[in-house]
Amino acid sequence: MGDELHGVLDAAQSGAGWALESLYRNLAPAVAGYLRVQGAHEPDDLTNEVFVRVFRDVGSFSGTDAQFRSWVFSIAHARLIDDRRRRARRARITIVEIDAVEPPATDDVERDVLRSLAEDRVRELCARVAPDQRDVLLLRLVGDLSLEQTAAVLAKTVGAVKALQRRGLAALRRELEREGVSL
Amino acid sequence: MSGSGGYEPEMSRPPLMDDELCEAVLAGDGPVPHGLWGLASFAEDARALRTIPAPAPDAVLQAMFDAPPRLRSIGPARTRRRAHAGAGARVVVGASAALMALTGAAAAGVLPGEAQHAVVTVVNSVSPFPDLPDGSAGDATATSSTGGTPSVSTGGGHGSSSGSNTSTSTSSSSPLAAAAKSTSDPASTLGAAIAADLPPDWAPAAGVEPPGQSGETGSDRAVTTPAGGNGNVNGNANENGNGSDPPDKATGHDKS
Repeated sequence: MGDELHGVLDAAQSGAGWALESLYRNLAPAVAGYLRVQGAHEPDDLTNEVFVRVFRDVGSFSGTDAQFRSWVFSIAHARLIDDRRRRARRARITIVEIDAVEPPATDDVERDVLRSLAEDRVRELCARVAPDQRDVLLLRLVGDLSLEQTAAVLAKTVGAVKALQRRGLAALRRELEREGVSL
Repeated sequence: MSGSGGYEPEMSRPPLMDDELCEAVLAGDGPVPHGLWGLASFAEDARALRTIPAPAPDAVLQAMFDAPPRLRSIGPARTRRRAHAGAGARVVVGASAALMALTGAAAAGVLPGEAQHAVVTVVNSVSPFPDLPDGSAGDATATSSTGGTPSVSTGGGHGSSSGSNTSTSTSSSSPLAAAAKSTSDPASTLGAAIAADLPPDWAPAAGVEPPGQSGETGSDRAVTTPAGGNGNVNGNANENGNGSDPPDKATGHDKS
């Protein structure tokens, strides 16, 4: 986000429907990808819920475009945690098998397959690192957030985020070396 | 045996993960050091996830696109509210000032004949002061006594007053009327003062009596005209137990 959304946020706050749609088109892919790779049960539904909340409260938002992106991911991250808690409560009663959620299909089958494999790979590797390290790495990589934005989403200091991403990448490198991938 | 004495070559030694290296791997925009290709590949796969098309908006979201909700905007909305309040206040103050100037001019008799007659008629129909010449005083009394809705509202209490309150305000036997009749009439005093200020050559228009000559006192008009139905009367009704409205309801007009 940035120049391509210059002025769109203002229009959205003024109640322009086209601006809301534009914000959704620009931000929803990253939000959906983040929720999907984080293992959300119904990532598409959750993405819609996130943006309903975003657009309901966008009038009260005050900040830059970059801060708006952080704000959107803050809501997405909070909804993700709610989703996990909800599922944890259900898991006490019934055992639910969690399958990988397929992303929306496109016309390019080969690309869809490659994306699916890549997503599985990312999810598998991220499952091996600590949750807070995983949050940082995925917000930075999938959410395309800066250090400062990630710190804002997770309510941590920039120094703490740096330490988490350093440890997370180091842990991933060890996992990859164990598989013999890195060399 | 290798010539290096068993030491790994410098090129194959994995670099330490410092912040700069982390940023390079996460950004994916620089050369990847040897030993971090796996990490770079992981980062590339993760970055690709943000390019997957977004899910189609559901019905709720689509409805928001079609008809955006009424968005909250704390700062600007407050400013707008203040601006509206300021505009309304300016209108009220301006209208009040114009009305006072017109009434004063009419009281002084400096208006042209037709304008003087019109202003005096209106002022006498809505005000409790009887001293300006008025040929329509009987009409105002009739309107009030029949319970008709006054054409000009001069005070609060009409909207929130109960039937008993209204009858109290229009009944000549009400405590307020009695109190008004039993005391000196400040309205008459004011009317006399205004009459004293009238120019000596002032001549009443047709059907208009000179100030203080109508035979109707200010207290009579205060009881029978709509002005008598303001918050003071309602407060009196409440004191008499005729109204069950809370005290703040009597001034409902003021709130709105």
